[in-house]
Amino acid sequence: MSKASPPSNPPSGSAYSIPITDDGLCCAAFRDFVVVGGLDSDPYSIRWCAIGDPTDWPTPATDDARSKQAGSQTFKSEFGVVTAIAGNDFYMYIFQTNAITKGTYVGGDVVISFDTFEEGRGCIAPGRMAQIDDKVFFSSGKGYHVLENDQITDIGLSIVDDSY
Amino acid sequence: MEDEGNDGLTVADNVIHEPEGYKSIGLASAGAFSTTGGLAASVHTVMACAARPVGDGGDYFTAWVANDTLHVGLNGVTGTTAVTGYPLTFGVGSTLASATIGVLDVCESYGKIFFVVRGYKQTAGLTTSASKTMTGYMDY
Repeated sequence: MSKASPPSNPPSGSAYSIPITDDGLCCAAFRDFVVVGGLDSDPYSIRWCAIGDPTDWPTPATDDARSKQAGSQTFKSEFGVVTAIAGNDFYMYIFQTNAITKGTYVGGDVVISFDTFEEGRGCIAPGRMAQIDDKVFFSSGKGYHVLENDQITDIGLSIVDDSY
Repeated sequence: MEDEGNDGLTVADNVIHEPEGYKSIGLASAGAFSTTGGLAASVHTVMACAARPVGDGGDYFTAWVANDTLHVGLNGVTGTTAVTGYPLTFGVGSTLASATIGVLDVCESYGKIFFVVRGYKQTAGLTTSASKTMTGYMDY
């Protein structure tokens, strides 16, 4: 067991800022964006900041947002609220209660393209997803799974799923 | 992964078996709180706490409920604030009976820690509850 190390001294004088008043249930970094999901105004949607600037959140569908590639996306409400987001430098997975959508940066007017590739399994609640490198572990209403390279593997068959 | 007769349980090939120890969070000390919102002249009970690791130096971004108020900070220490109203006071007006951090998610981007947090409290009469939420960022 490696020796525990003390936490570093936190930076002094760090200021908090609240760039948007629309609170969310989850957030993640995806390429040059920060993405927030499960918004108070629309729990079935996500919203992302200006490219390369997590402090700037222009109102979606405005000229300011379009010029900075900021925006938002709403998903089908039948699949539940957005509960988790897993992102890396290439793509992100947006989890609703009963669906998973892959987001890929394309730039231009579209900015991000979305493909809902799983309808049935999703992340059952905020905090029930863990990401390790390219593997995303999550808990759905049907058990425990791992998502990697757009493939979902059931990892809790029998004992684990039956117990929990 | 292989199933070696484990009744449905699979054995992963690359599981990390050695825990990496734990990092302490300075919430128990009065000196760990900023007097702008946490513990003032006297020590207040921390009713709820949640943390998420940030960076690679053993730091944690933390959220906690103390003194009828929802706070956030690095390793249990609040920083200065540029936000009117922070920290968020529940202000239900009754003795705090219980509290929980219901949502805490954190990510890092361009030198900022971005977070979403939601705290809940319940009064002693068990009839009143309130929630406070924040979506924001701080320098790291």
